[in-house]
Amino acid sequence: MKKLVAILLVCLFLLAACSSGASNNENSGDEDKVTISLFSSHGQFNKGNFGERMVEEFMEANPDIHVEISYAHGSNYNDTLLALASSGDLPDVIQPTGNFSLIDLIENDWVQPLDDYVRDGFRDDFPDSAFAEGINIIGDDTYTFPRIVAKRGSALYYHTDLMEEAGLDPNAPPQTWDELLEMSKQITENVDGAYGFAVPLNEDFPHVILLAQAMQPTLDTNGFDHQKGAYDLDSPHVIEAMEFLLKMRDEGVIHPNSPTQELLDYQGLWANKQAAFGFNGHHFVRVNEFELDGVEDYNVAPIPVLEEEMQHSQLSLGADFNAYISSTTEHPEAAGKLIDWFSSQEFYERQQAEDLLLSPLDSNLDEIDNEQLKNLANVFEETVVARPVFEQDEAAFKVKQEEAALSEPQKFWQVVQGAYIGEIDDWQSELTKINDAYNERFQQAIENVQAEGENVSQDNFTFPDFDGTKDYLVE
Amino acid sequence: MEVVSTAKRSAKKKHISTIRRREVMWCYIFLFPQLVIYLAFTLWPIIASYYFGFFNWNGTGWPTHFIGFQNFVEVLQDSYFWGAFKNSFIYTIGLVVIVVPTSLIVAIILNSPKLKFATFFRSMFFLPVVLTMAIVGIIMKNIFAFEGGFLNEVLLNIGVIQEPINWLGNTAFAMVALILVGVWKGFGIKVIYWLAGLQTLPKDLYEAARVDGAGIVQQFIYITLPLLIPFLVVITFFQTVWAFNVFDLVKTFTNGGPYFGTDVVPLYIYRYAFEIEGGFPRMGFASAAGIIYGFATMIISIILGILVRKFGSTKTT
Repeated sequence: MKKLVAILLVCLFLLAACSSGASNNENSGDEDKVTISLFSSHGQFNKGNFGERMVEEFMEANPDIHVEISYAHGSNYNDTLLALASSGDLPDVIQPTGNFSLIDLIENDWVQPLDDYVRDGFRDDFPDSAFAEGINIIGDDTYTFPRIVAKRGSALYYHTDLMEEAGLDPNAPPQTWDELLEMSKQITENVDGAYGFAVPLNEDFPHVILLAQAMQPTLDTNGFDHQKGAYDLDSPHVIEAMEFLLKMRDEGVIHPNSPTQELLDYQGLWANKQAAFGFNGHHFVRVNEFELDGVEDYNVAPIPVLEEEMQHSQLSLGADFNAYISSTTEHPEAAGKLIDWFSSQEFYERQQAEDLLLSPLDSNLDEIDNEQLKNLANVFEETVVARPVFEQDEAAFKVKQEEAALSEPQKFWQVVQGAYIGEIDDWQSELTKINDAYNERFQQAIENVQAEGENVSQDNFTFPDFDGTKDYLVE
Repeated sequence: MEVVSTAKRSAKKKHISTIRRREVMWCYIFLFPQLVIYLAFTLWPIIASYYFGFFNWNGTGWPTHFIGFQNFVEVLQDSYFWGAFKNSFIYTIGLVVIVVPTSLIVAIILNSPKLKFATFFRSMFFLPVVLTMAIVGIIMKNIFAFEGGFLNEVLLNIGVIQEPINWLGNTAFAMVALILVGVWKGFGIKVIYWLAGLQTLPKDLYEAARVDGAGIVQQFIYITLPLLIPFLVVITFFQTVWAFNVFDLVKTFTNGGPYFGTDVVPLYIYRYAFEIEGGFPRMGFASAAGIIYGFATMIISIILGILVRKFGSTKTT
């Protein structure tokens, strides 16, 4: 028995030694030095990237603060953040993915206003449109701030060298669907190992909606029409765009690996010059430069439209979100200093110049050196429209939250994939079926929120005077 | 004299009893860490998932929104759950039907004393077992690619096919590819199990059979197979449970696609529990799906367990 007691005591001592070791580490060095943790979902904070360098500079300028950076991508980030929150171990500063909205974060008590911990006149350094109720502020409380240009969307990325090899003018990218098809045919026929077009069909990527938006500019990438206040995934324009995609498939100009491609595979395929044209988002210039070994000979143009006189139009929120101070941090002042650095003119300037992400400050947008980034900024300037922000209404936002908690119907991209590989013959009926299911779910969410006593209806999401071609806020 | 010997016996008995108590105590000491880990990481999550299944819960905080059997009803009414269930079943059947007999044949060949370099061949068959499943999935994705995939290139070059096969872009072919990779990955360990079984077979039976004029085929049918039945049941049991719970290979190889063609229940559960798209996860729903699938796995395990018990104890003389 004595031996047993002795063994248990040894175990306890070992445990105590381990735990005291950990706390000693935390307080090692200068007693006044505080350590804060930053958990980011953005690739720029991955090891050796721009974000890490900037944090090192911050620590040099603030020797009393040590910042521990951790990074996770996409769903890994989401899982980890949920786990950390559940165990009460939220990092001091979080930079979540778009899956976590401000209201979600506040409702779960994960974040706190940053106004008391950042410089005076914090909001004044940004354009008025940079902050919007429900997106990054609630009343007078500022929770987060823009990271990159808020008006952003997708563009056509094309390889100029492949166009040239196929006998096409590299300075004249396809502007219409017909041109996209014809040029894709020429590239497929004339360039060995390359196809005209590629799409990541095994991923929630809105290529069909991007094609439809020129004809239905009030449609967002989730298939929600902000003018109608309802989902419109089976609209004639979406069907027309879908038919065009299938026509491209039938013509054999789409890379045959497309049905199994997820976003990262697709980006790699495009970067390896296996496809000349592809749609992608604002971050792709950065990805091409830093994560795909510096892709060369490419450029950026607006998404092709059905007819020449049309203008592609895509919707975005007027405001953006970046880092938050967690509600459980013991060092909000240090976290505030870090946020001051992340939101400084210098940080944004260098982020644009060194990390190829467009600045949220209008003054920086005139100073873009990188050709593709410059073109991308022009594409966004031409095509991106600020949509009505229904999130400003708390009850309306609750509806969207409730909707997300209800069982989700089959996803649009899955129907596109099913139709593309021939698993769904009557895909138009399937689109109607899922559109009805999405609208039923939306109505159910409205009813559930109404049952809680909130005054909300479909009207909160319907903006008849919004035509999708002009910023709603400006109007 | 007798009193002394009784006292001695009593002292000896006491000594033995003390030793046994110490042994038992040490058993518990060694069991204790494992027990704690089992309670914390196996039993508790199982019990908790039963509880969570009755709540509309997104995984943060403690569940409070009780919804009764709603999650269970929703799972049972979801055609995608049953689609995934069917795929899990097809994958399992495919693996069992292919792996169990073929690995036996290979084991018999490898067990032959006439085979040269037997150790080398055993190592070759075992190699895929030690590879990380996630890496296997990613590599296989490239091997089975339609354009530029290694498999299509080989098949085209040796003239087996005239046109490349879109292995992963077609639901039927994707399932075939998944089963083939599953077979390749788990084959080696089944060969080892069979080899272990073959090495327990009494040699004198074979000698007697040879004296009686039995050929190789007759020896296999009348001696090897009956004696290996207990091993057959155990190997089938392991293979079934392993295949039924496949996740990492599907996640990295096909991600359930194309168009749910290789979606399996563990992946279905994962999507609701961890893959957040447009909101928080549905942990309660995922728990309900996990419980239902757990019951299905349990029923299959019980059936196989009964077979193990029945055939495992069969006298094979």
